[in-house]
Amino acid sequence: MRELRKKWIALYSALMFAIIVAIAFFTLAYMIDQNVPYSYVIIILVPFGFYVGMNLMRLAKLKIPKYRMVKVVKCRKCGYVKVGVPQKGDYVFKEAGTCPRCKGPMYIASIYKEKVS
Amino acid sequence: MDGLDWLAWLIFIMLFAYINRELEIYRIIKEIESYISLYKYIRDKAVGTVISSFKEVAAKVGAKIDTRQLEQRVSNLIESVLIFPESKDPFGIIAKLKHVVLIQNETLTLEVKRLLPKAELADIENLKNLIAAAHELNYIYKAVEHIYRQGRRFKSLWLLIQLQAQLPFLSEYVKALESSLESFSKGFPIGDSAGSMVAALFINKYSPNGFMNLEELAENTIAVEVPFNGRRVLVVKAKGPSGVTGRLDDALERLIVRRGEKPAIIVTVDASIKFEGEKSGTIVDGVGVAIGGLGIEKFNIEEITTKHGITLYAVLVKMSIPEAFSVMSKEVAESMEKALNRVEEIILERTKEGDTVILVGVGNTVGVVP
Repeated sequence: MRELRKKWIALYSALMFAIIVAIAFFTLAYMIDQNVPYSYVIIILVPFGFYVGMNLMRLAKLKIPKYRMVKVVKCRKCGYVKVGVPQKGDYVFKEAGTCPRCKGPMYIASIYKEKVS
Repeated sequence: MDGLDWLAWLIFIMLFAYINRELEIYRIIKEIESYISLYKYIRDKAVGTVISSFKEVAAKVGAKIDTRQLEQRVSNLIESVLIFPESKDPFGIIAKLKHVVLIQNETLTLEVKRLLPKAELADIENLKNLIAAAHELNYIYKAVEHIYRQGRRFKSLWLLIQLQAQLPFLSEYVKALESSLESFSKGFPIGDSAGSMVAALFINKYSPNGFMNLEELAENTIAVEVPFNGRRVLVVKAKGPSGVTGRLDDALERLIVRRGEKPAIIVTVDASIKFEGEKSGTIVDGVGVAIGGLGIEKFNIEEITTKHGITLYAVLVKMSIPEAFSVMSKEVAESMEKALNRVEEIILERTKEGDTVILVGVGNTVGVVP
């Protein structure tokens, strides 16, 4: 999703930039030459720019939440809790070494994802 | 205004209405196209994840795998179809459906084993789950594209409007399947593991050595006997940590019908889809069998319990569809203790000392042992 959004934002931004440059160019040209067809081009470009701008705004506002993975390791004897990042192959109730406080056996009590933004 | 002016106005208004309708169709088409391109992207990502996971398992077991052959096989598996039994005469359809589903499951296992004969059981089951997710994503993409093409071909605004109305709901499901790829490729618990997790917590709390005294009642389904306040609790769940849901109906049939166990109550714990306004991790009580899926296990358990007059209670853990398929969320993980407490309360309040109780942890047990 994130890559897809990045791709479309880049595309719409480039298009928006080109439209703004074109509108500025034809406005200046119209002001200097007073040539009426230039104003027609501006009339066509403005709604197109509006459409591209709306899509760009919609994409920019689109929130893709970020998550972090959490592993809760608990001691079977004293209940000491340690929080870390799970590795591939970790599972709940897997033995996870010894407790740094009481040297008791520790196990993975929970693996979950937490929203960070 | 003379007659010609009126005619000019009439033509202008008709033209305006026509252009407005055409613009509306164009807008709907563009919206559907953006959804289709998103579905295609997610489908391709899923296929890529399946192939890379196969390669990872091959590297783990030291097997060599031909990429072209692998891609061909994965493509065949993703395109394969489950043909549902004929339902014009619905008598006995559940048994037929179970038969077909079991054949599909065995075929998938054989196909994975053919590619990776030395792979471990947990890896095979996780690969099967990844293939199932990719299969579902491929089907959704193709079905949506089919309706879209038909709508365009017949210039049917109503067909396109109906499709457009369905897309936000379908997208929820597609995003949920997309997030399941991460959980199955890494083997972490998902939201649907809530039922299995509560059962495992119960075993861990009242019989920490119960992890050693497992009994495999049916394929990938285990039972552990746990003493609890003078009651005998038989905890039944799928065998973890691989991504399986087990055969809970077969396990209960073995316990109740073949062994003659007479439980006072059966408590099923499962994940349940929440309403938009509800909080994730809310615990809800129920009466009946809490099992989703095609309805095979639910039907069979209801048959057995009705025949033997066994009371059925359920504890449900509420979550959204994406939460059910993706790595377990913090809200759901934190509600596990509450669900366990509710199970304990139900057993204490509704049974007496000396009774036998069956606690069934329903759902995929990926990332949870036993």
